[in-house]
Amino acid sequence: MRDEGVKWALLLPAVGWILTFTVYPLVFSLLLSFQNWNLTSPPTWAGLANYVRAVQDPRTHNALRVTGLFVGATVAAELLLGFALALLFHRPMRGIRLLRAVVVAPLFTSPIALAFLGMMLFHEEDGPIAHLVRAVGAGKVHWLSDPTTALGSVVLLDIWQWTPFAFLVFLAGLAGVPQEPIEAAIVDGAGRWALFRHVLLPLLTPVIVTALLFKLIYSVKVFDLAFGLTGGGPGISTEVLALYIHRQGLEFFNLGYASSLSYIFLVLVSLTCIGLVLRVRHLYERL
Amino acid sequence: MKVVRWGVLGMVLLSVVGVAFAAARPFAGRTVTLGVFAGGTRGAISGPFYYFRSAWEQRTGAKLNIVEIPFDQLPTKIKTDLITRAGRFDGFVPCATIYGDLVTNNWIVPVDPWIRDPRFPRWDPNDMGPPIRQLYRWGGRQYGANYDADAWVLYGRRDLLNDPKEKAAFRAKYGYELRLPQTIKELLDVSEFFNNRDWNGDGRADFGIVLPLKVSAQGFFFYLAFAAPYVVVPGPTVDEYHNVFFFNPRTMEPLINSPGHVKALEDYIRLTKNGPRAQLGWDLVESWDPFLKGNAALTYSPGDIGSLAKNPDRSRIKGKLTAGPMPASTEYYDRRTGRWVQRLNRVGNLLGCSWHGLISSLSRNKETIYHLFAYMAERSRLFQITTFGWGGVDPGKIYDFPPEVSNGQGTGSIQAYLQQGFDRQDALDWLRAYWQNYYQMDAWQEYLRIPGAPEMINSLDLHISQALVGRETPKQALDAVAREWTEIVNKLGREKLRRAYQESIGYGRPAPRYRPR
Repeated sequence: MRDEGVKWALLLPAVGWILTFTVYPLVFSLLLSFQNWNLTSPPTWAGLANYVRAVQDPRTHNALRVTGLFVGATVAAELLLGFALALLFHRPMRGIRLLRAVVVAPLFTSPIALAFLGMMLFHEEDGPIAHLVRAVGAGKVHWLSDPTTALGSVVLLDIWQWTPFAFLVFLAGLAGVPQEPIEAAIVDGAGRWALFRHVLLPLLTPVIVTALLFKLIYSVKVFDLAFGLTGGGPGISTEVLALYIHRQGLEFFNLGYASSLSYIFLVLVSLTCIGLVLRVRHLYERL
Repeated sequence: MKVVRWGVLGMVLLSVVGVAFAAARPFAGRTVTLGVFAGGTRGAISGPFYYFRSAWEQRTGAKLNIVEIPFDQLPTKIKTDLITRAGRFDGFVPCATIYGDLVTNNWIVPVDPWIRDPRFPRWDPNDMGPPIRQLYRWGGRQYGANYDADAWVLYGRRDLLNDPKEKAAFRAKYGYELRLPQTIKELLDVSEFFNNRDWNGDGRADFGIVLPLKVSAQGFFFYLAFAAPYVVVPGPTVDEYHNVFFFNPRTMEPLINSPGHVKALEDYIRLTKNGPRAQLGWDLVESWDPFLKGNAALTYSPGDIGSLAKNPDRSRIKGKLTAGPMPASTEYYDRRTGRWVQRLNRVGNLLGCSWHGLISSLSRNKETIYHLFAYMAERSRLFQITTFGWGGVDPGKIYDFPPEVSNGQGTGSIQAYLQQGFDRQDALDWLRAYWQNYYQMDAWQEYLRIPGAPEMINSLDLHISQALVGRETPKQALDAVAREWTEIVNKLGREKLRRAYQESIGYGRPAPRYRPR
């Protein structure tokens, strides 16, 4: 009985932490999403009005579309590039540790600092990329002033920063691949492509899906890059959902509406992630 | 006996000195915290507070704690402090766009009772130009002590505009004399004339005009300054049809999609095409550089260009700068008659932040923080700050203007500017532009500072940006803004906002210094 008491006493700080900083904000913001509150006057009950507004709001539609495009482009590019780099660096060669460190370095850059760096890199008149493009005789690229290329610029910066994450995960995955099936396939006369396609890829699938899951969660939350580099513009062409929620909640103090948007966001992300987690579990069970 | 007498006399003297010393340091032991725009220790707005901190501390005995807050976090930090009643700040120096929230929620206190109180440094609200004086007030009460006076004025290259070859070519092409544009038509022509050709001989095409049009920055100010003369109808009083720009003050119906605004946005889009496309992604400071480096013929902006032009680290145009008030329109839309009026309309503006100190109603040291603001507002000190060139405080007080730029009315001297490194003609042109903006226009565009203003401005900002990149037509963009503004008005309470708007613009009162022609 005393042991039980000690056990619960030791758990208490963690339980308190979770209740205070996870459960309470979740419940509070859920209630808030059914209210109108701008902090200056008492909250009023709004029923489903905030959710109806979110469904009808063209800026929400735009933010979802922009977020979807951003997530699709960055996740696909980063996983492919990360995988290619991992294959390249998963072999003994001179200076491999230094090379790996260099590849991983962008991961440690603060996204907001990266956004400001991006402003200089993509400066259309005097940026280093503009000078390079001019030097090879090509025309101007409107990195930040054209709605399409502006989103492309945000995507490029994210790829530069987050490809090393996929690289690290895949490198660890490659290091953990058992050698027996590979050696057996080589003995059976499998070529490089067949070895990759039929042996290595199935063995790495759980790692790939895990990397996909984590990157998806990171990408969908993107805020700093769009905020710092383009401010969501030109127009609303790079206004991702997190940026729009930030504006509604912390710039305009529409806390009820911001909460309803956050919940829509949470549900969409959760459904996607649950699907992926189930897939990962299934894959690991098969191994 | 003699010893006792001297002893008593000594004690009396010590007491008198002690009392005098205490009176000279009236806030000894107090500490005040100021929330201010993060310009650094030698930068805009916050810099002068650091510069004079120790002198003020010695004079009052109080301690000044300066908290720098980045521009985009400033309204949130201040409002959160007030809403949660944390009371961390005794006073703050915010962008005036949040005035509406601060006043209507009683979060700041008026300073009228202290202005003539001999315990505090003397400053005079009437030193400010008439429209700026109105900006520091609300509902007939004074809330701010004199500090900054922001407005947008037009800058040009004096050498280029006076070049005989350029003048001849311009006359041949447009049929009239080249000069710093005084009308919108001239602005469009001159910017077009100088755009996309290498007039400075550096081997690269130069620009007619440069503007910062990045969304979620300060780009919206540039549309507002441009649109003012199309929309504001001068008149003797502030009423439903005269001296208003944003809303009909009687009904709170948005005017933002009125014919005047639509025509203004159409012409504004034409103007922005006379500069680099890259400016659609430029912030304020990025847009200054091409002009200061000598790659642009024109720009319009707040006062910073005038003071930066003298700095060799930033500028290659010292001695080549000229300036004037924002160009007039040759027509404006009269809503009362529903017709366009073909007449020159010169409308001044109060755009920017016009940073100035406000006192938190939660402060326990209201008199101490007021003393700080009054100390900074003292005539000699504030004039010195204005002439620094790095303090971010723009000219707007009667003593900022030398007589030669102000029809003899200004009480300032050009010498102080020259001592700070200004070129004489640059400074005179710059100061004259500000003088004309504050004292000589037909009317002034009011400053939107009602509750909900940040959300309204954001809506305007992004729809203008959508129109600039061609994703919405000017009419579609402004109709969308009007719709969104109406939603905000309904959400926050039409009656509450109507009252706030009327108080903020001085509805029903005489317009500032109306000068009928």
